Amino acid sequence: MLYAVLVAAAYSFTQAVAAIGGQHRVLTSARLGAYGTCALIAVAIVVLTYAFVTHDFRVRYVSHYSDRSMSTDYLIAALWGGQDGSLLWWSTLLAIYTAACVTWMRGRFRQLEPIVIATLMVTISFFAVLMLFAANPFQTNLAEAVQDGEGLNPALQNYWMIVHPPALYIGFVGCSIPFAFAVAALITGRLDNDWVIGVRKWMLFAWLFLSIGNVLGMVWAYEELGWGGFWAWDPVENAAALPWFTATAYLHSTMIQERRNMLKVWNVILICVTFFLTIFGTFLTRSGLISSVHSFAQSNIGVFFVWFMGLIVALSLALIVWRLPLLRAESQVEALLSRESAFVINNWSLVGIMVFVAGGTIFPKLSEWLYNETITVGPPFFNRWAAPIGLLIFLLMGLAPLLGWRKTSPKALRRAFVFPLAVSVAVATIHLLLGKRWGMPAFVAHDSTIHGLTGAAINGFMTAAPWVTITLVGFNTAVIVQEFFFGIRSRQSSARQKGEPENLIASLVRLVAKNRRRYGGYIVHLGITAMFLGFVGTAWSTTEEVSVVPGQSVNAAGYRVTYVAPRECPGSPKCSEAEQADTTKRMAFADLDVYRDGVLVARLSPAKFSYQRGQGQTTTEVGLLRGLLADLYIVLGPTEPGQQRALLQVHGNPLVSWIWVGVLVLMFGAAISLWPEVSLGRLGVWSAVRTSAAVAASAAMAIILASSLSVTGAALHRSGSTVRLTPSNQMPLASPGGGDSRQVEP
Amino acid sequence: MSGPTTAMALAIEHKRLALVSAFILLSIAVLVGWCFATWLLLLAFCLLLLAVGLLWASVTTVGQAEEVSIEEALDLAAPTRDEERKIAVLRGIKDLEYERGLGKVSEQDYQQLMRRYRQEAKGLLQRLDTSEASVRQKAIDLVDQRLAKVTPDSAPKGSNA
Repeated sequence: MLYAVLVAAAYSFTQAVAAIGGQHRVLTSARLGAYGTCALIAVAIVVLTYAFVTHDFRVRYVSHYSDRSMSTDYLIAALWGGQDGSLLWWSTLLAIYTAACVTWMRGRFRQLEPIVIATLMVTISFFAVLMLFAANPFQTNLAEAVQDGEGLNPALQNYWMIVHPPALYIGFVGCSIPFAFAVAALITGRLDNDWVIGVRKWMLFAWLFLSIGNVLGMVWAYEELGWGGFWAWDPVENAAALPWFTATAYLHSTMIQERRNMLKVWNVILICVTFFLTIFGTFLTRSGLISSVHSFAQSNIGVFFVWFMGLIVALSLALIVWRLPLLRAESQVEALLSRESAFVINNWSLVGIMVFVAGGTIFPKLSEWLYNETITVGPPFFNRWAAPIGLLIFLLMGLAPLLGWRKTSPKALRRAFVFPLAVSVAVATIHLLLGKRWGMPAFVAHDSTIHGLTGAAINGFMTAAPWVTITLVGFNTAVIVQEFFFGIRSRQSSARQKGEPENLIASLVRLVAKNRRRYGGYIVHLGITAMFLGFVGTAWSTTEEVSVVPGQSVNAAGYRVTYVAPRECPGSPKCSEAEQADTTKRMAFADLDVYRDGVLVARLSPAKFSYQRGQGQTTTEVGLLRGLLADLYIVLGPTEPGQQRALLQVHGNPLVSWIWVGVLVLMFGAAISLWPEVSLGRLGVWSAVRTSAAVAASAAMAIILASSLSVTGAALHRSGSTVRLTPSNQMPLASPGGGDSRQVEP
Repeated sequence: MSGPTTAMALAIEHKRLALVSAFILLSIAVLVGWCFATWLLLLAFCLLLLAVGLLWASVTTVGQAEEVSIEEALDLAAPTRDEERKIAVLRGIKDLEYERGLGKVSEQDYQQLMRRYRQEAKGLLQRLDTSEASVRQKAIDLVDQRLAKVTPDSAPKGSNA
């Protein structure tokens, strides 16, 4: 099947190249060839899924990553659980993108279409070669088929691992389409603004899923790895974030090209770099170059990636240099106080942070080559330098909408800045005065290990970083509110002049509907603002390690936590039916009652699971109580059978939930920006069905991802680590000592 | 688009819709009646047939005579570079008007940019009129010839139009 994919891709490539001459029949043939190639890849992924579902352990990949006890959802998730399958999954997504792109291009960009198809076919061929010669998911076991498979890594048997990799892959693979367009535009010399505007939605779609994928990865790390945080600057986490930075830069700089005919070279470079970084990220994860908790097994596929990355760099550079005369800007930045200058600084900051993170990620390998010594840079290093750049980008995010194109007159400047500045001053003052009382002081002492003036500057900045961030959260929120206010006011004013006055809601809806890109973008900014609020919470997080016996209590994050008793499943009569029936692992729980103001609010059951398979691998199941102000996050330490004493790590994580709220808002904003601009009345039957299906599929995907954030409680409930109280079951849970069931004994 | 062309395009759309509906109904029947694994097999089989069909169509398309089908004709009617530019300029004018309404563009900048956009739009419209006139007449003649061939009794009307 993979040979067939390779042959079909090579054939379609040839037809596409032949179609550059402009013959319509040959182009049609190339299109059909591309569709055929995509269908063959679809056959391959369906056949592998069938092998998983029917437990066909003759296939080595199936026997390595599944066993008979796994449910169908995890069997499907195992498709991307290992290296070979994840490459086929990548190819499948690329096939879907290719088919969608070829369909979308009908009636558009006829000159570019053959080269777009050819570029996508080369990428598909690369993955086909990779699978055929280095990581074949269909390779059979040399010996006879095993009775049962080895099963999926327990850490990957998690709800988030079903949705996180596909979301991230959708983002990664989506960057191939803008790259194919960039190559086509450079080769044909058709370097006007139209193709940049055309591919903007493709990049926005990929960016949306990069954002979702990265945040789902944070959720997985937060809930499954049990170290209390959500981002550890792990090499693979960093690799997933790198294309996000350049894609974000592109989404902004493309607006300058559209408006001012500037930054043409820059935009092409950003597209090429973003695509390169997606391949580089895949290479980092799979080559075994850098050690990480996320890495796949070390293999020999690295050399294939190196050649492919070399090809991307050589092709992109050669084409850009060749077309440099056509890429000259037709205007330039006229004033510092203009939107384009804010965008340019924002772009440089985003690229700067990308270079910094990429450098830090590969630094251990670089130091090994240069100094014969592996020097690893950890989270403190990344936090110290990424925070100032991140806050600069956050500031620019608020400034840019306030500035006009070309230049901003002093009058317009005053009008735009009065309200956001007033709000910022108010927020900063309130934080200074009341922050400490709320457990979120404005200044948090920071002790950098760097000496001298640089160390003092870093210490000073990092100490004030929480205050600066909260102030900027206020500023950005005020800017967005003001933009909506001005828009609604302008709309209502023109409606009144027409004699058709509108109410507030109607104006808001019509305002957004008529300017989806602009106001969708503002909503995305609002989501990012909420996420920054979540990030800054880490400055006030607390961690306490306690050793407790049943009946003892500890205070954290505004809660009182009482250790009720240990519980081992299967075995203990207190275990649920599902826990009793699960013989694949030994589950050691510590049941904890959580009280707020003396009222029992939840029972948490952090646990350690020891699996029978995989050399008795152990996983940590976190006890988590979410809140908009703070999360209570409890990890159970090592346990021994029959032991009453429990070692608990109790974390108070303020404002973390705002990150998850932020990504939901971001998804909503991006969906508004992506919404098609055609009315259904203008479409034919088939097009209407297609559009409805696409909208329904997107909405379903968004609902699944959105609801996944809210069903965490249910997911954890299934794993036995958290039990939320409902009114009906509050009463029977009497507090220790048998007093009032809702009050804690002193 | 003229009446017969619309009808033919709609007929093609209905055919596609019927095929997709048939596959969805068959899939539901298999999922309900049998099991997920059988449905996967059926899906793989259908996809394989589709792949073979598409690749075969791709190979045979090159060798076919140059008579353009209705689908290809619709596809060939893709906007030209000038038409795409016209759309971009109109979008620019709309954006500029909006920014002016919000008070984000000074009156001087607005006038300057609007003048530039209008000049460009005027040039584009003139070019499009000139370049499309001969093609439009040719298209009308071809449609008349085609109609005369399909329905010999109907008199050609395009030439009088």
